[in-house]
Amino acid sequence: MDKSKRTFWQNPWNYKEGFTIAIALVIVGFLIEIISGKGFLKMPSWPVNAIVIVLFIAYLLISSIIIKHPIIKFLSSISASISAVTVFTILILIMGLVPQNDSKMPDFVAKIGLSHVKSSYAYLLSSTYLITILGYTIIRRVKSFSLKNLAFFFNHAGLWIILVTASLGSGDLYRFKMVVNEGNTSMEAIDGKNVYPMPFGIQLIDFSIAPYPPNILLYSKETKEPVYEKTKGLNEVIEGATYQMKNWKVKIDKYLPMAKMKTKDFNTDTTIGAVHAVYLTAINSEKDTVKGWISTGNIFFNNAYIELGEKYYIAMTTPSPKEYKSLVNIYKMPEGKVEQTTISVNKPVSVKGWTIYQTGFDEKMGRWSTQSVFDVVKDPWLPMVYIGIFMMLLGSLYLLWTGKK
Amino acid sequence: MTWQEFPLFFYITSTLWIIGLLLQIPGKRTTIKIISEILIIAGTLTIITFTIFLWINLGRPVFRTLGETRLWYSIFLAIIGIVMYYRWKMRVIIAYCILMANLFIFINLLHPDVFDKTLMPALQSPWFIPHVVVYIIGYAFLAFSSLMGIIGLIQHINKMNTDKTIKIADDVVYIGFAFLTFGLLFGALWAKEAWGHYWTWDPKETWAFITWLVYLLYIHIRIKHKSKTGFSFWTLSFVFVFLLICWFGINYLPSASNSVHVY
Repeated sequence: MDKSKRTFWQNPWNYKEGFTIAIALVIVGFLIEIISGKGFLKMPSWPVNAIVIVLFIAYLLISSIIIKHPIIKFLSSISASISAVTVFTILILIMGLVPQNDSKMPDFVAKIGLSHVKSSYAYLLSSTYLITILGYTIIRRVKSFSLKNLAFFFNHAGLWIILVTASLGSGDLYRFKMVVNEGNTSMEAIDGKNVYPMPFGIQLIDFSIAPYPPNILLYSKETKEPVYEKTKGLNEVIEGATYQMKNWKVKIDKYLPMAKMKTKDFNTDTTIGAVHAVYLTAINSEKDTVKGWISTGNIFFNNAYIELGEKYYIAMTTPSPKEYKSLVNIYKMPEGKVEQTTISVNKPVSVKGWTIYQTGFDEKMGRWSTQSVFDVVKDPWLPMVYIGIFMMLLGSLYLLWTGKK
Repeated sequence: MTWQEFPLFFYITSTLWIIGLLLQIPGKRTTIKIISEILIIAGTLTIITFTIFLWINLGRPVFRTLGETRLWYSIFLAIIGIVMYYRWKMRVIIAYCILMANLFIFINLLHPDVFDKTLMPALQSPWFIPHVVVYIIGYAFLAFSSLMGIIGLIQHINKMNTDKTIKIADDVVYIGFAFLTFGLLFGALWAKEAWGHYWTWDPKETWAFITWLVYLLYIHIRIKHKSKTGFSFWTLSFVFVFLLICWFGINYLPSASNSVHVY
């Protein structure tokens, strides 16, 4: 067939038609957004989302067998996928460049959904078109068994599964916060203003932070800014360490990780509000000597610092947390079973289909926080997403091994 | 070993690398070529040694700060350059990779890291190293592919034969893309463990996805339009820009001020 004589919309379709469809869908998305006045709110939950997926797969399979129209061949072609992916990528690019906050963007941007792309109709239509093409492509290609076709299947079907189950599964995804104070038990999760009862209770026995040691720094009297000596780096507070800081030689004579001031000295004290305290000796090039206590600050006490000569103060930085965790009792309702466990960052705990994550604490109280903040998440579709991820990992291993062959 | 000793190692590595590269210029003479290769390998081992001792001294995985990742980028780029040079026998490969590797440690000389032993709790995970390493390796391979893109463009414009160049480019993009996929998926698996969801459209995640999509497009363009090599070289050179934006650029984007990945 003479390609140059093909008119627009004459079969077989190619890039012109592909881009037209993809862009048209985005424009329709914009129009729906303007008319409805808001973005796409929420995916359906079980069992509707599962039914949608099953029907969609059935539709893809049946239509590719029964329908002999060239449009099906087009939808499983590379030109269809390239044009669809390009338009989809441009949408994601807009998401990457435009601040995704309706209140911070001009009206017309928010009206068509570009400041909330992931919940916009343009994104919904564009991604639906994409997974339709992906679905037809998989069906068309996987007609015979070979290692190459298996890898193709893992990569493409893996991606399909991730996209479909992650998006439709979000209808059953819940993420809330639970804030618990030491000694108390909470059985409710919050999401902004809404409160949800949970099938379990968390009793916070003890919240603890293990901080890194503070660092000791010079601050300029004039600018009040810290004075760094770049390659020498931050000076960690270690008892007995000596640091050269500008023209001062500073020795850390004593380091008390938990201390309180009593008359003129700091003494070890582990009660609430304790700070890190350091007794130092500083000598400069002219043999001037300064000795004294410095300490970190918190909500209870200001930090203590010392003047060094005319130019500098010497003080400690606020220590950052090395680890923080919550010792909790988890009550399973309505069974009434209790389990004591520890929840820390990167080590969540699961109970009754919910997973509890240590995500925060009372930052004003810092080290002395008696409050723990948890994220509680219910994600029943997660295993499906993991299957898709696992398939793509295997498919990528194949690409790594063979290159383009 | 701390960053205080870095300038010394930088000067040794750079000297070995630059003299090694200069000795590549004469061309075919075997002895000179062997000396050149020895110097380049020695330079690479020097910077690897520094990094290993820095890791031991810091007491935490050396992948947290931008300066630290630049060290690894430099190392992997040098290793890939050496391996690809032996595989494909093209001098321009080792020249580009070693010069890029040198550039990255030069940036470290100009912008020294502050020696900081801390690692925030969210980063204390077995996923930290794999996630960052596969991305660094992926970026290194794709940077190499961009070199092939530029060489290919020059060859194409001068009507030279581009068969070898496009073959290397395609193989390297597949390898780099595979690592990019690992990085994206490892990140998702880690995110689920750390804060409860595998994908939150954080600006870095969004840009990582964009980078993945544009290289995906290149791969499919190459499958469908095998003969259009000129267009392929343009595409390959262009998509590297997205990788760079994802790596460095998001720190400057207004849309990214709330990202957990801005460092």
